[in-house]
Amino acid sequence: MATAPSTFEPGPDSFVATDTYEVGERMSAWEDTWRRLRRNKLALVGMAIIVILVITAIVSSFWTPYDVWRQSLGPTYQGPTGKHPFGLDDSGRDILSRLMGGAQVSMVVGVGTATLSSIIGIMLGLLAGFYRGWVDTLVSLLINVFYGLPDLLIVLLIVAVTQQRGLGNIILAISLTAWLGMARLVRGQTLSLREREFVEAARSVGTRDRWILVRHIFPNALGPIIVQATFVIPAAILFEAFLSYLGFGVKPPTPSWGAMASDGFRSLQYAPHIILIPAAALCITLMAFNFMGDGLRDALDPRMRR
Amino acid sequence: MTGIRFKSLVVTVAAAFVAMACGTNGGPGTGGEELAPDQTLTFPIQDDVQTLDPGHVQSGEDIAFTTEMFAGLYGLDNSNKIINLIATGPPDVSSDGKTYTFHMRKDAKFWNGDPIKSADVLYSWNRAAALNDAYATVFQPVVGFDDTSNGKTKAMSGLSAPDDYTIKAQLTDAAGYWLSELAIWTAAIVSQKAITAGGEDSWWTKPDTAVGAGPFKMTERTAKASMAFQPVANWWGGSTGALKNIKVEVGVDQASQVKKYEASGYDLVGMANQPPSPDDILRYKSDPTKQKDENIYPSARSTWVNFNFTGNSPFAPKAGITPGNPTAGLGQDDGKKGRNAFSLSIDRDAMVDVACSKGATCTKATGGLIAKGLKGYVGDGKDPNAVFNASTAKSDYTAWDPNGSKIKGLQYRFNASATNTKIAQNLQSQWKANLGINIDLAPSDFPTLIADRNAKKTNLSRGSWGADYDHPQDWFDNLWTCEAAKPGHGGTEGYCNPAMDKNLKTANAESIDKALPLYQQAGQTLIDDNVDAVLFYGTQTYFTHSYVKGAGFNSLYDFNWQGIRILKH
Repeated sequence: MATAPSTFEPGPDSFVATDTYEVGERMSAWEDTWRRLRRNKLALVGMAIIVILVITAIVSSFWTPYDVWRQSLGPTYQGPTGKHPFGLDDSGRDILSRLMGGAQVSMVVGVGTATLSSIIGIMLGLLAGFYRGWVDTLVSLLINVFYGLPDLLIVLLIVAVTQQRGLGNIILAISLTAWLGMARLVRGQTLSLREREFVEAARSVGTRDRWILVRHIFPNALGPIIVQATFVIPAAILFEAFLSYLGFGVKPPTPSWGAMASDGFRSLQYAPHIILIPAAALCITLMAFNFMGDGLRDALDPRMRR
Repeated sequence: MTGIRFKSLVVTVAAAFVAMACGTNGGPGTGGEELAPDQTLTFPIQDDVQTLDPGHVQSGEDIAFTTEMFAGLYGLDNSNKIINLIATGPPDVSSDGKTYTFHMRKDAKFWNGDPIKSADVLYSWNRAAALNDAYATVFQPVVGFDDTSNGKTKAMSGLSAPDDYTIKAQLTDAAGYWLSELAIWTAAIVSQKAITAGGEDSWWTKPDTAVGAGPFKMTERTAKASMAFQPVANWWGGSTGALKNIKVEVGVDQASQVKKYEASGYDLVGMANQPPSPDDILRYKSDPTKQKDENIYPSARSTWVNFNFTGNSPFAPKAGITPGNPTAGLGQDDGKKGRNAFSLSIDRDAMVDVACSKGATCTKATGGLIAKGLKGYVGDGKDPNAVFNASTAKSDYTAWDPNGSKIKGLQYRFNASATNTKIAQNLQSQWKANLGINIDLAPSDFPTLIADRNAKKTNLSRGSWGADYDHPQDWFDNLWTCEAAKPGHGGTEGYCNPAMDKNLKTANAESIDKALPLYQQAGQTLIDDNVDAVLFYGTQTYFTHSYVKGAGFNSLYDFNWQGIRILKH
């Protein structure tokens, strides 16, 4: 029979409060996320580009080097000069000014679509996941039906039927196809979260469903929601550019990178700067959002933590 | 036109034909040119012909082929001069200008060998009047036209044939321009026998029954796919030139046309009033090598901004003028400063740069509404309203509309197309930049625009006219008389100036030499009253391989095929 040692010597894993023991600094989940995000260099580059874009978009709403609508500022198709660093387009408009104006359109469409589609997707996803039953069946059916329809067809139909080419209409049109992913994600998260102890606890003390959804389930699903929303933004920007390229985007002379690229496509052989500059802006923006989205996902996803 | 001038023309044309005849089927051509053994001209068109029936023809592609397949008493040469075809010379015109007597060649034949006699002329002209299509008005001067065109009679009472080779036409009024009208396709002679055999609606679709008297005949046609033509053997009119075959591929879009042209699949592109796209024109203009293939000709089309002179239009001389009632010369013109402002604020050099592929598809207008190169053109720099003057424009605008109420809700109406949209957007930009106003753009389809303009419902709109023949009457009578100003007519401004009308009536009765000063005076009146803001004159572009000679454009139509030849290459 083993006997207890006469003297107790704490092993390395034994919990002994001593003066020299270092307790880890307490951090909130967001601080932890930010700490992880900072380690991701590409995400930081993406964020920096996005910040520049946002500033550009804001500045362009009250100042651009030249009016974005103003034609005949010089010879059409003129290449970059000191006066017009990005050159002039096929109507003699300053490409730099229009690029700035286009940034505003892209930001508004991207953020607007992400917001609207998130609102729709979150609400339907929460309801479907939480109540299940016929609500879930109905929402899932809706999602599946919309998934079966080509995005572009729906958007073109909406634009064609309403005959409106304002930003609001374009955001609405893109959002109507962009909420599906968000709804699916939130539904899955809710299905999982609704079985967790803290929800059971809330329910057991008589908390109303709405309160449980808003205060308990939604905040715990916020991480994946943010990541998903971040990926919606570049998709919406690309979609708007594509619509504008096809001539269904914002009404001229409002600048849009897609429309600028479309204008430049025809003159690719003798004035390549007209298409290259908006195309480059579009590429950089999409990359920036994707880098940031990837970084956020890595930072927010517990499974990625090492 | 005098008999001497006609004779010299005939001699010149005949000499040219004789020279061309030397160059058939290989060997030396004109000026020591060495012709290719294969004289086959191949070119594409995008839109198929709608009809090749001279009584119905009205679109550019139809005209291009009809004028080669059919002949009338008169035709046009490559410089747009009237030449004798079936007629032996100019008509004998009575002293009051109301009776025309035409003398016909006795050797003129349809390509099937049937002789052409005065009965064929009567049949063709009465038929065209009775069909009452867009160009039936060619015969409007003839007594009895109205009854025939509206179906009351089958033949115009003013037409008669004293013998097999003489035609007599009695006109309601002297019409010095009528000969110009008779030189176009509507007055071409058709074969009653062929039309009966082929069917009234389809005779022109089949090579066997598409019988004309022109230098070429159709040998093959597959709708929306292809057409082929060959010269008529032993053509009564003389030489048919060097070409032995003309192959036309139909339904080829503009981009594919140029692509195949660059791969030597076509000899030229741009025939039948279907030029290459502005993008390709600009691409060729920007490339020193390709530039050599690009041939740009002035075309008889003007484009302007229409102002409405009637109703509650802000541009009207005074409120409430009804269409067709006098609007000028009244001493009061409340709309003139507005019209001035809208015209002077347009930098036409900038517009041509933007809307016309750096000036490749049009040239800026400085000499009135009738296009440069045509009879009635007022002269370079003669339109002071076509000069860009931003400061005067702004002060005129401020005086005219100090609180912006006159342009509230004002739209610029136009028929939607890539070029028209560019023009509209440039106008919008220039008015905004130079007048500080925002004019909404309102595109629509062409029939809607025409209907609204003719109803004088558009206060500011795109206006354009392409001449049918080189005579000022073609412009004034259709666009700027009190008759044209009435609702439903083509005087889209509703502009009516009785004094100008009186001058025009006199001019219309005279020969072109005497009439021209009167027409130019009328043109100056339009400028003085600033009836429209003329923007630019059209051009027609061809891409032509260097071995193709003699192709081009006479400001109205393609050069005659008789002059085209393929050099050895």
